[in-house]
Order: sequence, then C-alpha cells, then structure tokens
Amino acid sequence: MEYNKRVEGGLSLNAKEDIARVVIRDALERYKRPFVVWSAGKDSMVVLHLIKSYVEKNNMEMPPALFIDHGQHYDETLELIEKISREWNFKVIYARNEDALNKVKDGKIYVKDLDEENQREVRKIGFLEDYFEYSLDTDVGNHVLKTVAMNNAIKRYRIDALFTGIRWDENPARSWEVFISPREEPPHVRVHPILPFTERNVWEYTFKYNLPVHPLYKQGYRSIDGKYDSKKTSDKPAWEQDLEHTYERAGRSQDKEGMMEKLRRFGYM
Amino acid sequence: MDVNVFLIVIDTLRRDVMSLYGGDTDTPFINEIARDGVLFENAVSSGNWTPTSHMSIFSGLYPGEHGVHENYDEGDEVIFKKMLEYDGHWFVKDLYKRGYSNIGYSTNPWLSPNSMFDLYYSSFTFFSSEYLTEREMEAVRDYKKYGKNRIDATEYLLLHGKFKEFSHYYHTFRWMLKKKREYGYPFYKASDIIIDNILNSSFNEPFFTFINFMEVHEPSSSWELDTDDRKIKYNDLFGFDVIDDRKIKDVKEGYRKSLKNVDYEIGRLVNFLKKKKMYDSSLIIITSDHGQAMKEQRKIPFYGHGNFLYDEIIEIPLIVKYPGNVKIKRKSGYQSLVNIKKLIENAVDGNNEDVLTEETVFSEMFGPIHNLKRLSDEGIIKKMDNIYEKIIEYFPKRKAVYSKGFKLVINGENGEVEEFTFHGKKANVSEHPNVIKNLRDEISIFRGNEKFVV
Repeated sequence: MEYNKRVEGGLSLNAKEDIARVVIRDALERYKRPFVVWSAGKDSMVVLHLIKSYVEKNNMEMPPALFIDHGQHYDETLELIEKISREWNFKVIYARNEDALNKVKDGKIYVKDLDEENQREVRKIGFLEDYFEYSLDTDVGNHVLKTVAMNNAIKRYRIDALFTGIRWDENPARSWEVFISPREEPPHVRVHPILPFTERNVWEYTFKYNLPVHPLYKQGYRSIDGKYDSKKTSDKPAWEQDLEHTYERAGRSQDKEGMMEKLRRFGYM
Repeated sequence: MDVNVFLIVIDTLRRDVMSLYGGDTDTPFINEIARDGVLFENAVSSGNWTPTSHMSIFSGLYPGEHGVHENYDEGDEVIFKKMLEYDGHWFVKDLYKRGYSNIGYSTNPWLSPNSMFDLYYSSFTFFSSEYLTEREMEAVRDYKKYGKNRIDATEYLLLHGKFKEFSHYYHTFRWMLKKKREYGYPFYKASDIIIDNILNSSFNEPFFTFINFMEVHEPSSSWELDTDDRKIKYNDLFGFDVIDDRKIKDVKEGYRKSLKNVDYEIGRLVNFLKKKKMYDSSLIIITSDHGQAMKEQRKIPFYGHGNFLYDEIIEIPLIVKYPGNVKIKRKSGYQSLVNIKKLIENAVDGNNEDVLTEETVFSEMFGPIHNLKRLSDEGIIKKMDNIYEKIIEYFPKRKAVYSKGFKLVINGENGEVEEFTFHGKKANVSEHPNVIKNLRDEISIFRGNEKFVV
C-alpha cells in the first residue's frame, strides 16, 4: 500500500514532547474522567509515560488505562500489562465484548447467536452475512471485538476523555486527525498527544526515557496487536528497520488498513 | 406516531412507604399505572436534594458531572447561580428542537423561572405550595425588608410606631394562614391546582409535560408549621433541641396522608388522559428526586433530606408506563435518575428497551445542603464556634455505589467506609474484602480527577 505519509519532520523531539504535554494538560484540566487506551505497544506506552510524568509532577492521580481485550493477545502483551500497571501503580480496565467472545464457535461468530446490541452493531457497519471469522482482520471482527468493547467501556465508566497513541504518519485515515477531537456515539473526546511523533520519534522517546519495550519489537514486529493479524516485517528489531521508507503497518492485515476510514467512522481509533 | 411524555416527580418520596414496594401506604391510582407499565425496583437518586437530582434527570449527568451541587460553605444563591450558568446537555431543549411543546408545572422554588428552569418550555407555571397568590408572596417578601425574620420585622414595626403597617400585615398573614389550612396545607401543596390547570388546558401534540408535586416534602405535620425547617433539622441533629418520637409519628402520618393526596390527583390526571384517549399512547414516568429520612436508627439520626446518603434518602420509586402499554423486559441491576433522559429520548424515537438499568449506579453529595456558617451566624441554628469542623465531621463529601446487591458509602475526606450493606442489611467489611476492593475501585474510577479520598 502506497501513500504519502504526513510527516512532521521539522520539529525536534523535545518540541514534540512539549506539544504533547500541552495537550495532556489541557485535557486533564478540562475533563473529569480521562482514561488512556493502552495496548502495551510502543505508541500507547509513550502516551502513558507522558501522562505519568505530568501527573506525578502536578501531584495528580494517574488516570486508569483501558486495555481492549479482544481475546487474541500475545501472552507477552498480557504479562507486560500486568507488570507495568503493578510497577507504575495505576488501574487497568479490561474492555471485552463478553457476549461476542462467548459466542465463538470453531473460529466463527454467528450473528444470530449475538445479543441484540451486538447484532445491531454488526448491521450498523453494513455486514449482512450469517457469520464472520473470529478475527481482527475484517471490518466486522475489528468493529465487534475492539470498537464495541471500547465504546461499551466508555459508556460503562462514563469516560469523557480518551487518550490514544495514534500518529499522523501511520495511516492516511489518521493523518488529518486533531489533538482533541469530539465524538458523538457515545459522547466523549479523543485526546491525541503524540500526533506529530514519527515512528522514529517514538523509538527515540522510548530509549531516551528507558521505557519498557514489548519483546516482539525486538524480534522484528513493527506494529503489534492480535496474535493472528500481526506479522514480522523483518528479523531486525523494529527500531533498526528502514522506518522512513517502508510502511509501519505492513505487518497488519492490509484489508483492515484499507478499511481504516470506515472503521474510524464507527468509533475506531 | 409521536409519543407524548409525562414526567411526574413526586418530590421527597422514599419508595419504602409505598405498597407497590412493600410499604404500608396504598396508592391505588399509581398502582393502576404500574399495572399498565413496569415497576423498577432498584432506583437510586444521583443526589440527595432537589437541585442536584433534577439537574441529573434533565442533563443525564451525575452531580459531579453537571457541576450543580452543594459545597461545604455555599448558600442557595450559589446553587441558583450554577443552575443559571449551566449550559450542557438538556433533553427539554432537544424535545423543543424536535417540535415538541413542553409544558412544566412546579411547586418547588428551585424549579421555577428564578433558576431559569422554564427555559425551552412553551409554558411553565410555578405555583406556591402554600397556596399563596402572587400578591401574597409579594407581601411576604415585603415584610422581610423590616427585619431578617418575622419576629425581628414585627419588633421593628411596633418599636417604630408603624401600627398601620403592622395591622395590614397581621390581617394579611392571618388570612393567608386560614386560607392555606382550608385548602389542606400541609397535606396538600397545590397538586390539586396543577391538575385543575391541566384539566382545563388544550394540548398541542406531541407534548412533554413535567410536573413536580411537593405534597410529601416537609412540612408534613402541624408542629412544623411556622418554624424554620432548617432550625428544626439542625438543632435536632446537633442535639440542641431534639425532635421527639411523638413528633416523628406525626410526621410519618402526615407524610402518608400527603402521599394519598398526590395519588388521588394523579388518578384525576389518568382519568382525564383516558377520556382524551391520550393515556395508552403516552410515556408516563413517575419517580422522585430523593427520599426523606425520619430519624431512622443511624449513626447520626436525621430528619429531612440532603446531607446524607442513607437508603431512605436516596432509594426512590420508579414506575414507567411505556407507549402502547408495552411490558418491556427489565435487566437486572439498578436504575439511576441519570438515565431518565435516555429513556425519554429512546421512547420518542419509538425504542422501548430497558435503558434505565445498569449493573452499577452511584449517588453523591459534596457537603451540607445549607450554609451552616451563615445559619449559625444569623442565629437560625445554635451558634457553634467550630462550625467547619462540625461540617467535615457530619457532612463530608460522600459517594455511594450500588452493585450486585451491595451498597458501599465512602467518606471522601478520609476514605473510610461509612456504610456497607447487602440487600439493605448491614454487611461485615472484613468478610468481603474483594467486594470492598471492587466497590472502592468503582468509586475511585467514578470520582475521576475530583479530590476525593478512596
């Protein structure tokens, strides 16, 4: 997949960190119940660390993290979530679409088995078949297992501001995102402190502050999510690969990457 | 077809007195609505007095979210100001935009044009719960210019030889007293006038009608009349002038009698709607904004509402008759006032599933509902030097959470457990460490970035 990345190449990492801090301060001052979407991946790790530094400096409570549990995480991911949240002392809420996860039969999810709300969600995104694969590769799987789980958590915990680690240079659908972006269904704002960070900046920040690194990055994965939809892009550690001239999410399902625009319309990050 | 909506708030009604909820007061007319509708058994109010709870009903937000709530040292005027300044979600506005004609009737001074509660209504009428006309209310306001209370004012008039004025006010007030007693005050507080008005109105459909009935709000007995209710409450609470059992018995009797009166008036309304063939197709919601404590056995026994999160103050009735009298399937859990907005929005869209019930609900308070420093300075309650210490001791910020049969109340000043019950019965904290931990986590997430120790 080819596209022109939106790259903020002029600003130094220090300046981008300052921007992130301003965004974080603004959101934490204005919203009552902020959460941080956290996957233990490199981007959300940076966001979490920026927030942690800010709240520690200002003697505030660390907002809880929201971990989207689609049931296909690597063991390493779950271990890291557990370890870091314990060491850094903050709460993690596991957002799961229990109904959908309970209805998986031989790797498939039949729409008629789902509860009313999930059926509505499946139809909402225009899926008309009887069943879909238990996978994050398709728009319907991604929507039901990730977006619906996340939206339910937003409603359940009355979250008014949700921090995420999306960046301009990742995908064209994310390249025009703004720092604080209101959403309607359910009503809340998305807060995006590291939009101008490039993939390179994320690694620079990670090593500058000695952040924990998911072991799979070292094995050559550049973007990590589900066990079955993430693939290695090389045998070299992620930070040693040609970040500027190759596509970061090449290891992710390309169907889904192409559908990003649509997924985001229904609430995806 | 557009759905007409009635939202009836029986101010200060605790649910446990109603026979529908196992209590000893039968409300045959409300029961009839419940038969055609759905009885929700676990409704909890988001706040513990009129402004916080009503703001929740109309905004869909908890008090900490909409921001209109008491604090340790704020008086009524600050709350009024917050109500005037509030500019967030408001379902009456949305209905107005959809072309609904909104009609409001209130006998509660918090819900009046004074707080701009009439905004987005095509007609909003405030009646004095004491059956006073506009002229008479003016006389009451006028009299206050001679002194901060009635005794001071009388003293001033007599000492300054203003006998003509004194005689005028004396006769006016006597007439007012006689009149309101004849109308049934304090067991009737103008619900009859509200219903008379509705019965003589024409309706532009679709419409939304909001009614706040004040009948069961104190005063509920004759001994309370002509005394400042704040004086009664706080002098009792601090042990200066204790309300005895006989008086509480009077209160309970009066409260039940008042409820029967409201019930009768609701019966008149239902009858009228049936005659007009508007009953079946309407959404009718009957609930309350908070209950009323009547000196139950508590660590700090209290008469009134606000100030605590006792069951009798925050557990409220909720009866919903859906359009077409459909019996929807109830989910298991609790109902919060913050979901009334969603219920109405869904119903006008033709969607009648249970949007009221959630697994976990909250109730919160941020201090006493009166400015005790001022009451003490003005001599309305007995003067106390250490008033701020008393406020923190008796009325700290508190949050209650209900989940899976358990209720936990936390004192936000010290993080201590104030109350822990299972289905209304005292539960042992040390026997349920995991439940306590989970409920504490719920409160800790709910408080967000508010300064609240948990």
